[in-house]
Amino acid sequence: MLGRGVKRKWSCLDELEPELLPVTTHEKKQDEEKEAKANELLERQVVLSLCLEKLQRYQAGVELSLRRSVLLVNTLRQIQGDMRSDGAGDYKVQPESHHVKAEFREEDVPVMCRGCVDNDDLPPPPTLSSEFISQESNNSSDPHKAHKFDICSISDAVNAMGYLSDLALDDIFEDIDTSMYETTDLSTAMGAGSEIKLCPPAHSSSPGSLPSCLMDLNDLDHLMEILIKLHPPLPGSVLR
Amino acid sequence: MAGVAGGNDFQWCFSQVKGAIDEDVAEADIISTVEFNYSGELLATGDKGGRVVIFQHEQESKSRPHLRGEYNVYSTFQSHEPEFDYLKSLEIEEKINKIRWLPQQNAAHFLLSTNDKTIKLWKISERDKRAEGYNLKDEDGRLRDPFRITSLRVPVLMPMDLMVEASPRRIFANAHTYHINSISVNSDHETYLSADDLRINLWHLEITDRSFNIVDIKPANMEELTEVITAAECHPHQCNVFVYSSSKGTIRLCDMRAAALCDRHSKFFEEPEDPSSRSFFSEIISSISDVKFSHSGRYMMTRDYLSVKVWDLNMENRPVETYQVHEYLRSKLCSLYENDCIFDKFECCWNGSDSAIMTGSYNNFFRMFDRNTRRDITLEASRESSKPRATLKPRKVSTGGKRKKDEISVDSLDFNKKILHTAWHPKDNVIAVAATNNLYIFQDKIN
Repeated sequence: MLGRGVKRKWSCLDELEPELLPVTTHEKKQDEEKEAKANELLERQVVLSLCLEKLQRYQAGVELSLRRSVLLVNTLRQIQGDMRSDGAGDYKVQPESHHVKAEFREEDVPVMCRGCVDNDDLPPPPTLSSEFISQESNNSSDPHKAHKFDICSISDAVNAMGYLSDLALDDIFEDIDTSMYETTDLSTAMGAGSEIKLCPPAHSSSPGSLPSCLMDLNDLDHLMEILIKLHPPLPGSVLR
Repeated sequence: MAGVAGGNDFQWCFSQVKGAIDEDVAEADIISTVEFNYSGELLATGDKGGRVVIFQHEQESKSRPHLRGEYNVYSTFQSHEPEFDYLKSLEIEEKINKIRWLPQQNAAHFLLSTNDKTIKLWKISERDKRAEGYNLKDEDGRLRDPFRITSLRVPVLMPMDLMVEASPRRIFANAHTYHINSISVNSDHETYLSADDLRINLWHLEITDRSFNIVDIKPANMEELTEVITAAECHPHQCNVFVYSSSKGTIRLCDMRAAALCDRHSKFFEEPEDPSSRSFFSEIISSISDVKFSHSGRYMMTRDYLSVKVWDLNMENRPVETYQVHEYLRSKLCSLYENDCIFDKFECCWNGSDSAIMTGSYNNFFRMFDRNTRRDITLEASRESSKPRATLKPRKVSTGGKRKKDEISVDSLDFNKKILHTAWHPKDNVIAVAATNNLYIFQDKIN
């Protein structure tokens, strides 16, 4: 667990700090501790967004590394734990954290949604999350998920993404023993041939629980643009 | 054997570089593994295009005694081809993940090569004679009717140009659902293990249609999965002992005598986390990317993202030595996470006498640590210093404050140039360093 109020030392954070200030100055004066807290939340948000972005990329079948996705999901879980421990009272005092949290709640489904980011005039940060909410309730393919604005839903997101791209298939063949994917004996798998033929050739076309827009990498880029606009000089550029 | 750094010790000098000089590198040419055989006479590389190239050490010439002989191409062959997994609708890359040599037992050499799914046993043999004088076939190559063969003719062996043949002897397929990250030949020379993200299998080198699953960490419900196997290796002397490392930074040592399924470890190596350095990336950077037993079998070395640790097999609670490889990157983790470098899998290796270790870094830098003197050195694999016998200049990365002359700042490091794979000759101070599509060979300077 991260120490509360501990000033982070990452240089990337230092670079982000000036960008953060304009956002915070419209609020009333904040003391050092609050700033550190805000930094931490900001950083957490950056890490979180990147986490989800990376997981989505793997989901789209570009590359499938179990090691990577496990590490990413664990990082996501750690952030989830952090947010839980922040408690509900926290963000009544701190609008930023509320914003972060509200946005975070939506991360499970709509972050990559086409509708959220199609908007050409990008909404200012604080409304971004509300945008998510409205888009979500309109577009969601899974209405009861949309109404479940529980922080726990991040784990649903994690699970929905899964470690394997063939998880999307699970929705189609829920009742089929997936051990057939595991079998070393091809003939055994062929025994279940009739079902296998139903397998969509590519994940992008699979009508699984993930909305097809999740697969659209352009949307991810777009989303990243938004995030980058929020926190301009992402330090990655330094390293290129 | 002397240490690794300058001073009174020897210096490293350039010996050879293999591979094209072109700026734009074909993906298939990127070297994905490097491995000396047991004698050091042969050096094998595997690449992303599924090829294996074997270099042979040529004896030093009498006229140039200062040169220790060079490694020249001995054999090149296509080990793996791209395939398609129809059940999962996924491509299976041809990339060679690992090569392991078998101890030599006759004139031929044997090695195991693996991609994500399939392990192959290759025989590399020489032929410089061919049998001539058969009378079993017609001139057009068709077999003659046995009734028309009336005389017995004994073929004779005729000399011919030396030919090196690589032939696949065994194919060990269909045993891994996940990506194979390690193979390791056992000290009994009869069995080997192969590890993927969730399982480790034990094979007999002669038997391809069955293997024993000795470790399985796959949870019944994949949603509960929090840890994967990242590397595994057999003990160099005790054929019942092996270790495997995990993405949580731990190492488990298992004894195959205890049970057929080693899901309960005998030893568990873990260093308690320093709470002061905790960050979002703690788990990612503590993930172990390589584990190697020392030649003596007393120690093992693990590589995580920022450091190399040497563990005494008799002490589980902390490593006996920890070496920082590129600690200056700790402040850059956010960016390294963003550009995915944080997931790079750096390997590490021991020198022949276990007195020094080597591992790679970014900007084509690689690091050596002398375990006795505790000295370390950063060297660079670059074409600029690639004149024969040119001494390698130690490199320095400035860590905060003012950058001194000859120092390179962290921000100007090239993170696309990474040295993930290195190998140390089992007896001599000759090292092979894979830098993208180039293989550099360095040796100590003999005065």
